[in-house]
Amino acid sequence: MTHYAPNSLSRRRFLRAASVLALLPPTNPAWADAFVNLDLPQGPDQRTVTTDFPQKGRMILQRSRPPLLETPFDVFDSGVFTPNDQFFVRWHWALIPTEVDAAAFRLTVRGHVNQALSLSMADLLTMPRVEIAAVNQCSGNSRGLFQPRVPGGQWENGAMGNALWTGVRLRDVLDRAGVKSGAVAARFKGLDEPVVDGAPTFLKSLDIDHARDGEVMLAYQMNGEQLPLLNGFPMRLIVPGWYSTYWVKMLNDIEILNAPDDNYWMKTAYRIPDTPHANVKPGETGFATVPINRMAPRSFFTNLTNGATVKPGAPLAVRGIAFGGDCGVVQVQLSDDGGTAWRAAALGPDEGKYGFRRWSAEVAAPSSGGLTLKARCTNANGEVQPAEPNWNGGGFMRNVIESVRLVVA
Amino acid sequence: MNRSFSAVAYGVAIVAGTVLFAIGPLGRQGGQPPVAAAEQQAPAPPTISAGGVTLRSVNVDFPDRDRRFEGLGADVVNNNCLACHSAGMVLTQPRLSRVAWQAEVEKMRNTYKAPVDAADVPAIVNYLATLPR
Repeated sequence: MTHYAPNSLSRRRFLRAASVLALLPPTNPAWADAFVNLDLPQGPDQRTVTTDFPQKGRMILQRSRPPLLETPFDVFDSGVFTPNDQFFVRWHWALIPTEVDAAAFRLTVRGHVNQALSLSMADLLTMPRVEIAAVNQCSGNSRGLFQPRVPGGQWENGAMGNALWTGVRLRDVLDRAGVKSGAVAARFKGLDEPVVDGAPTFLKSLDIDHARDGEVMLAYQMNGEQLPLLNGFPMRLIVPGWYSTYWVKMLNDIEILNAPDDNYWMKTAYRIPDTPHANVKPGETGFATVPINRMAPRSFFTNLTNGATVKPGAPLAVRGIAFGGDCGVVQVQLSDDGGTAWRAAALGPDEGKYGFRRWSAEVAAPSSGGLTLKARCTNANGEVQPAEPNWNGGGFMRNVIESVRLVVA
Repeated sequence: MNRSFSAVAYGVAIVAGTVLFAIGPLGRQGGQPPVAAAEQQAPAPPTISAGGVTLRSVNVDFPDRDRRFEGLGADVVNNNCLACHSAGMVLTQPRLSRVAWQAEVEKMRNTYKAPVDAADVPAIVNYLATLPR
C-alpha cells in the first residue's frame, strides 16, 4: 500500500473527538451550526448542515466518520448535473487516505488474465477517452422514509447525484491485460481499508460480460474536473444504471476471478429480495435474495416542498428531475387528484439516458384548500414508478411515486 | 480547481489553529506524533498531465467533531463504538427494538470484528435501546 502515498500508513490516525471539541475556539465560523429538518417519519430528523469537509460545500451531515454526506435537495433544482462539491458522499470504512499522490498512484489488474498490469494515471490518461452522463445513487437512498423504519444510513432523498464522467472504458483496460477464457467476474477494490484487522475489506464485483460491455468505465473526471477525494480521487468505477455500491471509489485494484465472488459485500451485504420492486412484508422470511443491481425509475419535485404556500387560482410553475434507472426517461406525468388522472410534463434536453432529465409543467392552483401533486416517471423499458412504497429490511430501492402537499392561501 | 485549494487551505487553517491529539487505528496504536501545522503546508503537490487533463495530488484533512454519548451508561458505548464510527451513526437511527439493537451490536462484533468484550454487550444494548428519541 505504499504506491499511492508513501507516508500514508504513518498518517492513518483517529483524531480524538473530545479533545478537538474542547479546544475549538467557540467563535470559529466553521462550527456555527446550521440545521435542517429532513422529512423522516417519527424522527430523529434534525441534521447538521456542514461545510467542514475538504473539497465539499454545504452538505447534510449524516455521519462524520466514516463520512456520510447528503446533498441538500434544493441543489437538484439548479440543473441536471450535480456540482462536485455538493455531490453525496458515502464510505464504509474509516481508514480513507487523506493524501493521494497522483504521480505515484497505480491501478493493478491481475488474476485470471494473460498479463498482469500496473497502470499509472498517465497511462490511463493516454488511453481512448469516453464520457457519459450517469446518475450515481446509493442503494439506500431514501432509507429514512421507509415505514416501518429500518436501521442503516438514514438518508432522505439526497444520496444521489448526476455527473458527466470522463475516463476510460473498463473493457479497454481489461483487453490490455487479456482476460483468460473461464473468467466469470471482475472484482474491484479501492484504497479504503477496514479499521479492524479481519473485518471484510470492501470489495464489489460485476459479471465479466457486464464488466466488458463498453459502458462500465473508470472515471478520473466528473463534470470536467478531477474527483474530490471524498468522491474517489483519483479514479472510481462508473457502472451506468446500477446502484452506487458498485461504483468503487479510489479504485486501485481489479482482480479477474474464475469463480463466482463469495466475498461478504456480494454474498451477504447489499442483497435484495428476489421479488418485484425488492418488496417483502415486514417480518417476512424465506425469500430468495440476489445482489442489488439495476436502478429503477424515479422523479422528484425540485422547486416545491411540503407545506409550501401557493396563491389561490393562480398558475403554478412546477419543475423537477427524473431518471429512468437503467435506461432513459420516456415521460414524466403529474396528477393533482391523488393519482387518478395524469398529464404529461414537458421534458428538458436529453443529456444521456443514464442521467437526470429535467421536467416542468404549469398547474392551476385551486381557489381554496390544499393541493397535493404527484409526479411519476416511465422509463424506456416501460417501467413505471409504483403507487405504493416498497419495503425490505435493507431499506433498498425506494422508488415510490413522490407527492408534494401544498397549502393554498 | 480554485475551489479545491481553498477548501484544503481552510482545513489546514482549522488544524493549525487547534492542538490535535492523534492516535493510531486499532492494532497500531501508540507512537503517533501530534499533527504539526508545518507538516500540512507541504510544497505544491505533484501533478500528472496527459491528453489535456491534469490531475493534482490531494492532501486534505477530515474534520473530526464527533459527539460523545451522554448520560447513564454512556461510557461503555463511547469506549466500544467510537473507534470505527462516529456517534452520529447511532444518534440518527430511528427508534429500534431491543432485539434490533442486539442484532446490530452482534453484527458489529461478529461480522465487522469490532473488539467488543462479550461482557459489555448487554450494557451497550441497554443503552442503545433506551436512548431517548
